[in-house]
Amino acid sequence: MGVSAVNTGNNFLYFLVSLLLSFMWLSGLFARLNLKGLTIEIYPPKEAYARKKNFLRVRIKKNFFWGFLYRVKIILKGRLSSEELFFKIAFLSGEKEISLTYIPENRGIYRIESFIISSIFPMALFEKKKSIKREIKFIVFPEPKGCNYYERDARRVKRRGKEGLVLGTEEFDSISEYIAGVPRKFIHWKALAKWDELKRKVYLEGEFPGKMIDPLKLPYSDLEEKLSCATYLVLKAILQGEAVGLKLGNIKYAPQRGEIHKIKLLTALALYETEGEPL
Amino acid sequence: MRQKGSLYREKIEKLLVLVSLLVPFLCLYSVILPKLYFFSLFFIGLALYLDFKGIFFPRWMITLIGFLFIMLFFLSVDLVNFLEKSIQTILLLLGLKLLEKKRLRDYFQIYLLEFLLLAGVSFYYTALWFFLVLIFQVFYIGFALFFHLYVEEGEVKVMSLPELKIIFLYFGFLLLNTFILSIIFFILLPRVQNPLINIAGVKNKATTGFSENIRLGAFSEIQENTQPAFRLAFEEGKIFHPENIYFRVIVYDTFDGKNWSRKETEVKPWQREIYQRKKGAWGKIYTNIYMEGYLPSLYELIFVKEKGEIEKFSDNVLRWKGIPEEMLKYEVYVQKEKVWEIKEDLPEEKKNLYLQIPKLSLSIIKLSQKLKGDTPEETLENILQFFSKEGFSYALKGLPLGENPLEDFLFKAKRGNCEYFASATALLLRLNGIPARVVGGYRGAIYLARGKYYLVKQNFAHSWVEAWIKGSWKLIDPTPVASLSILRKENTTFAQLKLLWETINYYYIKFILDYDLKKQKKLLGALKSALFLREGEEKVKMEKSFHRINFKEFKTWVKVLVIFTLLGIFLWIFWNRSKLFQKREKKMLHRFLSYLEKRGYQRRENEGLFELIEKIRDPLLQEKSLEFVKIYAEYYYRERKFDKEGLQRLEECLKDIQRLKLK
Repeated sequence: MGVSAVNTGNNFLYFLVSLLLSFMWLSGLFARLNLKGLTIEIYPPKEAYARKKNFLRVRIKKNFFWGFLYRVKIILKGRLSSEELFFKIAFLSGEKEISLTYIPENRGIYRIESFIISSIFPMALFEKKKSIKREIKFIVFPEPKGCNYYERDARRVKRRGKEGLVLGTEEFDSISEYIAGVPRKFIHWKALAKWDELKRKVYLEGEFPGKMIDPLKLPYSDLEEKLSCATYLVLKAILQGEAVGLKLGNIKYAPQRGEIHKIKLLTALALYETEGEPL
Repeated sequence: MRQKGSLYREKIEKLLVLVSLLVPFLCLYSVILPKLYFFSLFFIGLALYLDFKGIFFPRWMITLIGFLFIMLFFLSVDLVNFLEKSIQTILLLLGLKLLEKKRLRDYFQIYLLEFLLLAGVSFYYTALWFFLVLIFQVFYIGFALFFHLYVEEGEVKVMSLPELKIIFLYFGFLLLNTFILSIIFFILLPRVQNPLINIAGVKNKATTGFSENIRLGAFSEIQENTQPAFRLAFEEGKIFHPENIYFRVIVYDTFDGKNWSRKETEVKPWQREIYQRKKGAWGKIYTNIYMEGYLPSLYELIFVKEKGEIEKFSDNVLRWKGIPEEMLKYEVYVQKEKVWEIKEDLPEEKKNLYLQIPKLSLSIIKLSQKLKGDTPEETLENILQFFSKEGFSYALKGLPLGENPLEDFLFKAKRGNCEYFASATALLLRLNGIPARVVGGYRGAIYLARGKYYLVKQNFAHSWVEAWIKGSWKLIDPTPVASLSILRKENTTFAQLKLLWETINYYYIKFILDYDLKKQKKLLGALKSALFLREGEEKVKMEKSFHRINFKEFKTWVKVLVIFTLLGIFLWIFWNRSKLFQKREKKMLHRFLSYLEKRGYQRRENEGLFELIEKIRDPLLQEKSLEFVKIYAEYYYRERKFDKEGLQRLEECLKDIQRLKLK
């Protein structure tokens, strides 16, 4: 068309060619602006299990103007496999949160090393990409598979007559100094209101001695099956309020209750005999 | 089962395509052959109907037929019909495209074909309305394309009104900037003096105007038309009084009693006139009254620039012999003094032409004898007096149109338009042996000060007489002055708006249609001189001291630049006002977090400060950070105002953290 314009001297053609040229130039500029001011935060799940549906929360924010036609690709690298998670956002005004589902194949450390945001805005003449490097690691625990060994232990304890406390409850003992990371249910809110200080509650340890699980002694040939069963047992114990411990080779974890302890045990199971470093 | 949202989306997409076709089809109406036009209309209508019904042709078939159309084009095209064939082929391809089941890329192709159609049609129109329609269509196609892309790429089923509004505004902003930036490209794109290969050809449309044969009364038809006939712009602005200007278009030399015709065919070569710039003025005439090619000229004309395209006859009539164009422009050089005659020797053989008389009634002959004077000037005076004494009046309607129209005019009706007065005068002069001819043209103009040009409308068409007396053709206008009433500007709002539109139209012609290599060079030259000072100027400017710089003295472009820069700074401050005018404690917290971030501890969204510190491995850094956070929390969580002491303590903590080495 440009050649026709020069050839004929038709100013309408010049006008049309000018429009096309300026649109092409401005498209590039607007496409860049479309990707500017974007921040992405990825929130891995606190508990993720292999071969189970997990959710990865992604929060994407545009700091100025609006954003259009985004394609976001997140590369998830596991111990033995790699997966790409992909989603689209047609229109972004301010902030948006998306939950991505994924089913990790294996236990262990999963990494998100980078993610790519691209867009074909405004007219699909080209695709602008922006790669953001961000190291996010999270642990995928072994797949919990049901097994019966816990109940056997429970029956044995009852026969000894040590019924002890009702499983799942503890008795309040005292107030202590606040430690960062303590779950909210352990914060003494009355103390905060009264004295303006953060304190934590301390409970009596149950008389129940707690369970020790030794996954390597579980009657399965496959290590993964053993670990899956152990995961199940840990989860069940914690759910029932029992103290549970773990013995993995030479490492022992004394029986305790609570969420933090659960995560500690599951982490140990997840990372057993993997190359991954603890987080 | 398809969802409801997607059904609506498909319907909207089809509707967008349908509406987009309106403009090209409206513009094509007078461009292509009627048969082809209606066939295309039917074909495309059928394609749209099938589309709405969900009936589509296989893609391979469409592609094959399209290929055949293109082959046909190449086999039948030549330089003469290139444009016409191109438009026909694009139209057929567009119809084919509509028969396919559409995906995103198909919509892109449809709009591209429409765009090419408009490009082709642009050779046939020059009017401002077409230019505005072109802009509208480009904007429409832009929005439509984005809509298709948005719903398909974004997999959008439902759109909220605020979302639609934002899309419209944001994309509209992009298109607006496209339009603005295109002005720069338009100015800078390379141009050539002459087309390399001429493929464009505009059919010479017959409009109302002057032809070589004109019957008495025909002028009235021209005078009914209020459209602009042409525009004349002088570099120096207003040179002549608008009511006094006579524009010669054609000269009639032969009368048969009812019709005037032109027999003169002798072309006078352009001579190398030597002119003095001081006495003359350059002007440009823009005309679209392309009737047999005769062009408006002035008595003050010295010569024209386009000597190659314009031929001059021996009676000083100009005709365009170049490639016909809908909007013609040519440059004229004229004397600044008003001229009412053309000095010329008249050879004997030419005299006979201008003394030609048809078969006339006795009464007219007797009248001519009665009006004869001792000298040609006296004869002329007698004729003019005759009209005024006998009460002849000017009229546009109820003109004598019988078998002897002139006789009826002179003895019965005594009223007529300028043709009757001019014909009668010329005839009476010829009967008295004075060579005379009737001139067809325009009298008067409207001077538009805003655009600095003269506007001449079709209803200013006029005829008068030239009589050869004492070695020159003298301008004689026997028509009563009442005919000048049409020149009086109407003061109604509507009339003023019409004139405003006319000025916009003129600017459009001048800056867009008429923009060429010469203007480009001139503009770039002006830009260059604005940016780069010449030697003498530089020295003078350097001598001015700083405190004497007056903003008013700066060139306009500098003022604009300063204003935009200040605006930019203001916008930046406004945009970042929360950061710039932050409270001191907020700024300190911000610094604290950035120190930690540099050391590898980034605070996540919704993460507490204490939680953040828990992650710190370096015991010294953790200690210092904890100290900062405790002080901060003391004030913040208790909603106490940060006093001087608190801020000082925070500052000290920050300094300690800053001193810790980065690992």
